[in-house]
Amino acid sequence: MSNQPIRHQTYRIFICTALLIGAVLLPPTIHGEEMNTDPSPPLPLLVRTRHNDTPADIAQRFLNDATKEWMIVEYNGREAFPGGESVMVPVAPFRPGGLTPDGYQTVPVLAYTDIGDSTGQVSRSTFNDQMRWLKTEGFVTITPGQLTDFMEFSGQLPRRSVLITFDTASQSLYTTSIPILKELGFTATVFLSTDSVGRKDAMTWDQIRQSHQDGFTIGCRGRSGRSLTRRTKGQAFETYFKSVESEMRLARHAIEAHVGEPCLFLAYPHGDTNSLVSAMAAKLGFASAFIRRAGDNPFFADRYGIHRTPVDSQVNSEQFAKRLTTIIPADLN
Amino acid sequence: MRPLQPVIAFIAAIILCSCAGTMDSVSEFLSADPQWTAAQAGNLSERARSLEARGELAMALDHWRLVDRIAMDPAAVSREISRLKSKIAEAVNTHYQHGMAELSKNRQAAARNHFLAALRLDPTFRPALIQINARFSPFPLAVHLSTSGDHPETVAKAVFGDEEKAFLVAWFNDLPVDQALTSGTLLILPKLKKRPTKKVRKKKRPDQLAQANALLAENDLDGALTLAGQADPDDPNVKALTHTIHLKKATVQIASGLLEAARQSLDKVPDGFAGKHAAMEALQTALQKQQTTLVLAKAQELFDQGAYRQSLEMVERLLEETPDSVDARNLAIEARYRLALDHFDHRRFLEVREVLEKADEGHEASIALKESVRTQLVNQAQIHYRNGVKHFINEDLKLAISEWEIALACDPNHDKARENIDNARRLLDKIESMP
Repeated sequence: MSNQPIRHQTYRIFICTALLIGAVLLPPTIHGEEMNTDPSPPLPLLVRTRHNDTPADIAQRFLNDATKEWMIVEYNGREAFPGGESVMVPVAPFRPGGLTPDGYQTVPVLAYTDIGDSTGQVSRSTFNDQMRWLKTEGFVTITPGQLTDFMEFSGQLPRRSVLITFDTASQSLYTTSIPILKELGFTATVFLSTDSVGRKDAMTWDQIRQSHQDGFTIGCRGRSGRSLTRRTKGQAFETYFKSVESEMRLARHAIEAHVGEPCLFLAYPHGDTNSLVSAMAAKLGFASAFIRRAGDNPFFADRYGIHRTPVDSQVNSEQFAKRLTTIIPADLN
Repeated sequence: MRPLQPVIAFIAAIILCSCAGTMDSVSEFLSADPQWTAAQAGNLSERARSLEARGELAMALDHWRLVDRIAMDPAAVSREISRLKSKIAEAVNTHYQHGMAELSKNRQAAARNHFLAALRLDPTFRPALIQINARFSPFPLAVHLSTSGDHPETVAKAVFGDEEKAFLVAWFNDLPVDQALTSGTLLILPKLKKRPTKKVRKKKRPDQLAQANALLAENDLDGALTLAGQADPDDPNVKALTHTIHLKKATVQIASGLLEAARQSLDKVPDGFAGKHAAMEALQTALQKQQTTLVLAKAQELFDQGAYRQSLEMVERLLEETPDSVDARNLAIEARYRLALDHFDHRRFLEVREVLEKADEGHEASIALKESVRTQLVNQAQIHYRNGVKHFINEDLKLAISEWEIALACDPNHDKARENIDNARRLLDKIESMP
């Protein structure tokens, strides 16, 4: 019993020592972030590289996400980091909106209808070649959520970002295209019309759920997939409005019920919209919506009319490359 | 076990530190020495200057702020930070003012670029972001402030020009359609075009010929023709009226693009009847215009497919025939820019310059690209010029000339390259003529 105070004293000494070491060894020279009231954006971390460190290793160690390796590369302006050197690790977007002195970023969005051997479809081998070309050229596939953040001027994207989308929920998408994308570490967005799910040659809800769990985004393309801008002859305006509203709302609810997450992205069926349909998409809670027409997507573009460039069997490799412009030159100095 | 408890507590503290992500910092700090730290401060300062020279002021400032943490001479670094902060603030303000000035001159693209430039330097600069969002970023919803006595119906009438769209006002604002609105309620509404007020047509029914004339005056051509057909066909007044109706019908059909129908209408009008010759000329012009539209549509299709060169060639041929076509000119400008952009992406700067030789001075993106390429080519010219000098020093005159020729191609104003080529050729001639 008489040893008890001494033991407590020993614990206190050890705990104090550990805390002291902690306090002393968290030096500002290594860790750039400060807990102060400075309104400036958070400073990047200044860290020392290890032997054979890759940008992915550094991103994993300090940003807890190896896929953010592009931030290390783009901030430091180099890809190799010999051990023992200092390297800066940005902890916040350093170029929101992709603005550089020479121009502004535009994000190409590719729209595939389906992959297969039918007329007009991109064949499996061509799709494979196109995806491998993207990988070789250093493109990074993004999600529509990342694109929306970028367009809200709150996020930053890799310089060579691309969003890949499909307007189908076919079995061939599940069995041929998705495996190619997964093999390359790519992601994509599948816009489906909910009535087609489970039909012959279409994906089942289980397969859609699985794709979602594999990192693919599931978006909405209406319930029946019919055009939302066409009003049948003699149809009253209010009847037309109600049919459009139910097409979007019911499809969205079906996807959310089956996938278990909010469905925030819409591809207008047939790629068309008008001012009323776009406004309804915004009111119904879609974060962004996509048309099917080639065009640029800088951060200040219309979030409810994001351009998607159609890719079909007529597009050769040269034309494919041309559709992937990522910077619009402008003097922003 | 008890004697080991302090050791266990210490190890646990270390593990906790490690889990909290501090061990990297700890180990790095332990392995850092003053020389290493000083070297890093030097490297960072150098990179900060390089970033500033490239116009990346915000990143340069971040570098200086980090140098401030590890530098031996914090006073000097603080001066750099203050200087750079002032420079950024001044540039942001200048861009914003220039943007507002361009807006007042209705030069939208130039204004937008100034606001973007301000945002690039300071992403937290709200006024520039507000301008970009309000003027250059379309959004399908608008707001409307209700006034005293408003109902969804009155708002629909005021905003859409159609009180039957009251259900839209209600749906977009989660309101009952028959509820009176409190004055000052902020309503969210879709941006729809306001429906024009309907014109009420007045119909008169006097005698047959006069009635047909009245219908003609109201542009009811089919009605007028039916009535004229019921009148005496030998009456010269009826004949003249029938020809006039066919003529007018042809004019309307030409305006609507129904050119074959217009031709048939004109066939029913005898040659020499007043106005037929002018109508025939209008038909010819419309046929030509239709052909232009078809070619333009094909050129647009090629453009949409990314075949910019073919699209440009087609539209330039079209412009030779119809130089006043605004659509053709706009497509040519856009196709030329996209083609140049494609060359630019592949670093084919000479091709960009060639394509943009005919760039429209009013197309700011093309002019910016042209300027950017000019700078790139001047830089490349300098590189080739230096390579030429190296070859010259190594006494390889042919390679030197070849490099200087490339330099001259990149920058036709590179007088030194031109001069050196002449000198080297003279030297080469002398050497070759030596026995």
